[in-house]
Amino acid sequence: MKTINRFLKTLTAAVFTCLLPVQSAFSAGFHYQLDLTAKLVHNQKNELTAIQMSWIYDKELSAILMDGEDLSEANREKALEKRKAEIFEGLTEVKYFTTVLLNNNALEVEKVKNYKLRLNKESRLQMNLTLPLKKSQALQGKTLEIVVTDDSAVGLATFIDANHMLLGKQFKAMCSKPSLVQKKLAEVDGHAQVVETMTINCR
Amino acid sequence: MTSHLRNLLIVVFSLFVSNMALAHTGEGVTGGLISGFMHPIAGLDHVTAMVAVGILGAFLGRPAIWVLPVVFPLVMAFGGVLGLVGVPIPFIEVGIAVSSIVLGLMILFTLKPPLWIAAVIVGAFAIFHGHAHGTELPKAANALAYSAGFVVSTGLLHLAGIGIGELIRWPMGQIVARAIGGIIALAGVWFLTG
Amino acid sequence: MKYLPIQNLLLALIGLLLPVGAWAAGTSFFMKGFYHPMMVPAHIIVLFSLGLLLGQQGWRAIRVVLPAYILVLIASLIMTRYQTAAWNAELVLLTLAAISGLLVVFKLSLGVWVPLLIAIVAAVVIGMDSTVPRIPGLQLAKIYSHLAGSGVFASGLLIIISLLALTLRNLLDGVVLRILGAWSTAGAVLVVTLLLAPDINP
Repeated sequence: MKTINRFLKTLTAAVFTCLLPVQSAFSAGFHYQLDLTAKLVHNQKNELTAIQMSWIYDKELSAILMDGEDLSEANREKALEKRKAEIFEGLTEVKYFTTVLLNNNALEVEKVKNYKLRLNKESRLQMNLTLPLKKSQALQGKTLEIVVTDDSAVGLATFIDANHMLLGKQFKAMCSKPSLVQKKLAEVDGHAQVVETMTINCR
Repeated sequence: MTSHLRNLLIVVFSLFVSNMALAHTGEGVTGGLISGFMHPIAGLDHVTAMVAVGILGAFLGRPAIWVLPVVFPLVMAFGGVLGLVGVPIPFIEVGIAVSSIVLGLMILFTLKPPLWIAAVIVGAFAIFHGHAHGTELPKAANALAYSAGFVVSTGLLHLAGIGIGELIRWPMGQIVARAIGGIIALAGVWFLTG
Repeated sequence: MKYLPIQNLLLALIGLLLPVGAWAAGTSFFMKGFYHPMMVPAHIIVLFSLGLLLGQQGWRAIRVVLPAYILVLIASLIMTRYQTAAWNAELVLLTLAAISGLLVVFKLSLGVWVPLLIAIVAAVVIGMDSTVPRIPGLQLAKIYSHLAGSGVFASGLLIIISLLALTLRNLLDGVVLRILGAWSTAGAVLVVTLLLAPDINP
């Protein structure tokens, strides 16, 4: 009887321990989304010199990144100024999730010098930056592709749709309307990696 | 009912209540774990054989009580590997059904072969069960979670069988255990013919 | 109304409070880290097999191996900030799980060195496989909270399973442990086969 009681006591503890992770497994892994709007920047020769980017962080991520900061009207700017560098550094480490290709050749980019962090009306962080190319590029007769992806698949970097790619007056005249293609790649640690390619045909 | 059994029931009930509150669809890891856990239980042919191995081990006494439930999964893994790499084994379902018949009859008639014969019989049937699990594995959304799930449920079925087998300490328990063996054998006939 | 013993009420309360943990994971990086190993079955299986082995080997093995495991795990978790692992963590952990399970089956008297070696390798691999999800701009405090949560779970689970196994080691000649060890070996072997032969046609 003593053995059976001890066995049952241990079984209770064992079942409890085994069922504990079943409960907890219902909390899924962390994902976030960054919405991108991009605009081509040109010089006087109508050559592409940079890409202006506006990254809007999703609400949950915005709250996490500003956790513990005083975001009242009076102190908001100060808080954003305080976190700006670290948040920008994070984006730099992932190379802004962006690769720029011209006729399938990757273009080298320079260090970003101008960036700004603000909180929009929906309390979402917005990082505006200008990504300068190392060498200006003529687009006439070429195909420009802007590829955005998070290779860790934790985040989704997305244009949302082709309307978030702005050409500006000069490039609009020489290039066709941008088209966006989204592809899902193989899973990384249970997350699906999504690659978006914005194509601007200037042939 | 002992207080410990009652505690167990309270815990399980509470967890089910909170599970309903969360209402997750069970995809990914959780889904794989649950479908793996359910696979042996949903297949009565697997359930009867697993329980029978546990009962038979208890009937044969030490060391069979641990040898048989240990031989089974190890040889089953070999059968599973064969299933995974696509080595065909004919009459898999027949083999699985026959395992219930043979093991059930051994319990019913309290046949006590030497340990090595019992281990060979159990091992032979384990290949059929393993092959069946192995062919399911690549289709599983999360193979490892699936595998973890069916490992837990089959181990528990063996333990349930041992628990039933331990009833033979009492005269009534012997009758109950042998009757269960008979039911398992009948179930095997039904799987074979149904 | 019949009075329910306090321990039953306590158990029911704990059961009902568990979803709070899932909710907390939405707000706290420590909890996110705590639940992360649960999403990686290879971690659970190796900790399960290793826990069975430690419990079977007895208190002497537990009191030597567990502290060593915890220390190495902490070091590996910190290392994820500076280095990424090149190895296939799942393959290594499943192999360790299969070996541990087999050792449990054979119920050999191994002393402390063999379990210690397995535990250290497991700690390194589990730790290095517990990188914090890459979130650009995430505060350092949150990163270390996540790592701490993973560490607490991976240590806590091993401790609980080892102690449970310790209480079961002599039950029915250790049958329960041996069966569980056999099954964890079987599961690990099946999945290792699947990993090594990915072009299988089912």
